[in-house]
Amino acid sequence: MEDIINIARELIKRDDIEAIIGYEKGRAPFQTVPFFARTPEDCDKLIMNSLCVNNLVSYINQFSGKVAIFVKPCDAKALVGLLQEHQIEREKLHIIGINCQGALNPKKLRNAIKGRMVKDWSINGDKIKVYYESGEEEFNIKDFLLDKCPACDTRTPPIYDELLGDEIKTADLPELLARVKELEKLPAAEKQQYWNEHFERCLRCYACVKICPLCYCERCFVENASPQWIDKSNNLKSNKAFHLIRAYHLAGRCIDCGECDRACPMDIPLRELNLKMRKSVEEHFNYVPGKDIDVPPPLSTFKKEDPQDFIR
Amino acid sequence: MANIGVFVCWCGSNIAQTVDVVAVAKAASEFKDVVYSVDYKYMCSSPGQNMMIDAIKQHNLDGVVIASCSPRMHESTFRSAAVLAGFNPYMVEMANLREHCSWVHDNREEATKKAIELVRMIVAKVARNAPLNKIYVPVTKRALVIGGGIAGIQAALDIANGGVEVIMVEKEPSIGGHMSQLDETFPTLDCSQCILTPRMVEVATHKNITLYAYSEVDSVEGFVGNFKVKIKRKAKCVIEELCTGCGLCTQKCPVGKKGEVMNEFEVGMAPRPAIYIPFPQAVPNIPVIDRENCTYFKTGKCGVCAKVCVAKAIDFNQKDEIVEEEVGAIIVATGYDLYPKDSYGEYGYGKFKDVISGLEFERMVSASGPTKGKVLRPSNGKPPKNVVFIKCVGSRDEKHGISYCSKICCMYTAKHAMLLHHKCPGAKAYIFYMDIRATGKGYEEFVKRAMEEEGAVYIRGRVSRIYKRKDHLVVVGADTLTGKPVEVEADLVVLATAIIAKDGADKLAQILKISYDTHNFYNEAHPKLRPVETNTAGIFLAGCCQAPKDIPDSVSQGSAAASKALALFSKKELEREPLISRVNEEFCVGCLACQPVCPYNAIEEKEIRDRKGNLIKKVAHINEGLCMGCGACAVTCRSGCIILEGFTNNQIFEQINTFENLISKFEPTPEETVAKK
Ligand SMILES: Cc1cc2nc3c(=O)[nH]c(=O)nc-3n(C[C@H](O)[C@H](O)[C@H](O)COP(=O)(O)OP(=O)(O)OC[C@H]3O[C@@H](n4cnc5c(N)ncnc54)[C@H](O)[C@@H]3O)c2cc1C
Ligand code: SF4
Ligand code: SF4
Ligand code: SF4
Ligand code: SF4
Ligand code: SF4
Repeated sequence: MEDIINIARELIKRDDIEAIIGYEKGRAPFQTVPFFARTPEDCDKLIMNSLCVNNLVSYINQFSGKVAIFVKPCDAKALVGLLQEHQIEREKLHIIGINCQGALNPKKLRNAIKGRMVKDWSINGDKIKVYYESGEEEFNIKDFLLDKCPACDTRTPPIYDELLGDEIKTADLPELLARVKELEKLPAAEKQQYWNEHFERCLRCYACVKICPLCYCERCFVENASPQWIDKSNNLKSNKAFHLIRAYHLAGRCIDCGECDRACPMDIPLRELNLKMRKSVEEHFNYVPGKDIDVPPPLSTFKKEDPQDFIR
Repeated sequence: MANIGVFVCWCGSNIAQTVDVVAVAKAASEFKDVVYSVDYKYMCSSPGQNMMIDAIKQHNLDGVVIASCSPRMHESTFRSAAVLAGFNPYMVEMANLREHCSWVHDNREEATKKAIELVRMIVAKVARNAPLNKIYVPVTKRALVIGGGIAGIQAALDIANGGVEVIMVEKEPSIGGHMSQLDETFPTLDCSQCILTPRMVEVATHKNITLYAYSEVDSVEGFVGNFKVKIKRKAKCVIEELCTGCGLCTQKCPVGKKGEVMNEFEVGMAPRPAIYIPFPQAVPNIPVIDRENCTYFKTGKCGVCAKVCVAKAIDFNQKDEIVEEEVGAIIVATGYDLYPKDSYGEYGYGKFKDVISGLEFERMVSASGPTKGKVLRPSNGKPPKNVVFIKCVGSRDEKHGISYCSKICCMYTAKHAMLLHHKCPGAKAYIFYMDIRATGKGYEEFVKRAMEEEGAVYIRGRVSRIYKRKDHLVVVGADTLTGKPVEVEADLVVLATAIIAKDGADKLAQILKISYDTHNFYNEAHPKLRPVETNTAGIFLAGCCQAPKDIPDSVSQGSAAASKALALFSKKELEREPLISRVNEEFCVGCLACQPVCPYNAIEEKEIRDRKGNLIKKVAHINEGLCMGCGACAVTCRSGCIILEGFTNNQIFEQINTFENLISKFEPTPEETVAKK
């Protein structure tokens, strides 16, 4: 924590930096919230730990000048996408990379404390300590990770100006696409049924769209009135259309930050859909989004030697 | 909102035989928005067109559907007629009842049903059409010709004689291309240089032509009528204005004397100095220093040329230079290359000195060539007795070479047999061939003459192998007519190597944004009807860069391309169809996903600023001079902010919805489809 405060205090002194985007502790238990430090004093409030789950990149464009931003690998992957898609200007960013060993799922934690009142919490190494009205309890962080974390192969941000700590290499990860491969094996009718059951429950609250760092459209296709591509009401047919179109819009772009999964109040497994697209794009074009800013996204480029064999 | 008129055409019996046109007209009269509906025998005839014009006035129509043939056939007919009636032409649409219906079905009842639905969909679309106006863009009256072979020369002269300025860019030190290397030309055996040189000189002296030799196109921006071209002029190290073309420097230069540098023009059969003029008739007749091989550039010492040059024209400090030119049209005439000599190991090219290419043979028989017009065996400098010509080397050979026919080899091999007969009396020509393709005027007669009067022996079959026996080459093949193996003991073997696309043709295409085929030949816009246009407006093709062809064809294409350019220049402004895409700037997020998918490079980034000049946002902007209305961008934009005029999302969506309402009645649900499988 000292490190990030010191870095931030140094940076805010610079004339060219308008603000520092990071996290502070929130009011609710296990909550962290985005925080913009503008003075050296502000910097003391900054925190960085495995409960800092929100993706901060969507705040960058609220500032007209240059900002410094703390990024976990997931945020940095989103940055890569946004830079490739001309949404952010590189010159207006100072990126401080933070290594990540996995982020906590606040929902899982809340289940674990079984409704007790939480006074405070603190994170130390691989343990989280929870202070109740009376007594305290310690949990192992690795038991409460977000679903995306165990198989994640990006522990160091793919883009940064300065990095806190050394680059981390990963080894012996569980297979990222295991679940997708499992689903692929289902007979068509069962697949259909699986997704229908999920889509049927969708509330069309669009929390998934709102939280997605790559869903930055000023007018999402669902809002278009002329023509109205899909029925605005909540029914299986139009829900399905919404999800399939959104999945296509993210094909070759979704960086698997898992934010939609986390935001969905209905626990619809949106990551499974997006990972399926990731798998196809990787198979056909040997491309994984968010990794390398210099490799152009395959679905918005045209090369003569692009594979054609999947066109039947 | 709309008052739509529907006109159902019989197309004689073309439509009426299979579709009940009367029933279609009747059904259409009951569609929403339709106020008038008739059928007529020939809508495209002038009474048919007048019928439409009268109805527009009488029934106060604001939309018209012609249910007849393909819009490619008659859309312009009906739209032009609409203009005569003072009616916005873009409110006229066609439903295709012929190609899409009557011609492809035979069940009258079903076809009639389908025809009704096709009309219903187009009516739904027209109800959402908006009047559009033509777009006008200014034209720069100047042409760029890339490549100074015979095709490019012809195009440049035609345009220049039409009173329009031409910039010609030629990569080599001289224009002339391959034709300048040829000896006599089929089918008339006139001397290539004699007919070409006057034209080359005319290019150099024409007041409307600026020639940049030893130069290449570096970049091209802009669009039809308004191209901005950057041309890289390679340093010649000779000051053109001072050089008198005396050639003294080329004689005194120490390089090349030992054959360490070979002349490209002589296909490597004669050496050349480091400062050189490729051939005596070169235009411009100014030497260039080949910096890679010049002793001065290699070691810093020499400068002999500078010392002997009376005109003080040598300048070692010259640098490559970029010049910028604005032109309204571009003609690409970059010609061809020949199939790499060493690709056919079994023919021994490169291994046996006496195996040469057709182009080497041309230089050999040329009076100005390295052997002064004598046919001599490279191995011993003696005249050959038996000469074997092998056709289709590389051509028509999908396995080892290329699939297509090089078109000219049949003819030039017959010519070579004749030239051998003329220049090397007593020598005998044996020609191995697959077929003889002699389809031009006087061509068949020419080949016949080679066989009957000039004693060429034609053997039908492929050569499998060439090997050396003592002083001779043994050519082993099979005569497919007699089914017997043949062996010819030859003194010289001439390979008719395939014509392939110019090296770097793909790179130039990318600079010009024109398309090319899998062999890197440039694509014409339509193989029959638009053979010299490319898909990029304002860029035309001439000569072998489009496909292998002979001189008459290259010249015709040069003239054709010139006439296209002149037609373009005949107008003050260019009129363009308004059926192009527009960006809804309010919702565009400037992601530029649309930019790389545009095949015409019509999309650029645009900054939107407030009155004080503060940047509000960046959006995509479509250049209306460049957009061809293909719609690729419109489907790429995730937030749907690209509107393709004439095919707006609303129009297409309504068309599909109209159709969907119909099919949903009998189409199985996806669940049912899955269950069936
Ligand atoms: C062995 C042989 C014999 C032949 N005999 C006959 C015959 O008897 N009769 C006949 O009708 N045809 C004959 N032909 C065919 C004839 O050579 C061609 O039809 C003709 O030369 C085609 O002209 P072109 O202008 O299209 O191409 P080219 O002659 O190839 O000219 C292209 C020009 O463009 C230049 N260039 C290329 N790339 C660039 C660039 N990027 N920038 C600037 N300049 C560039 C080249 O340097 C060249 O000067 C023969 C061909 C061969 C190989
Ligand atoms: S779903 Fe598609 S249209 Fe909607 S915000 Fe995301 S990318 Fe944009
Ligand atoms: S967040 Fe969940 S419920 Fe809301 S629209 Fe997305 S998938 Fe549906
Ligand atoms: S300076 Fe170069 S070009 Fe001139 S004579 Fe010497 S080698 Fe030849
Ligand atoms: S419609 Fe086609 S040509 Fe026009 S801007 Fe879009 S992609 Fe380019
Ligand atoms: S794809 Fe759409 S949103 Fe993106 S730049 Fe193009 S027009 Fe704008």
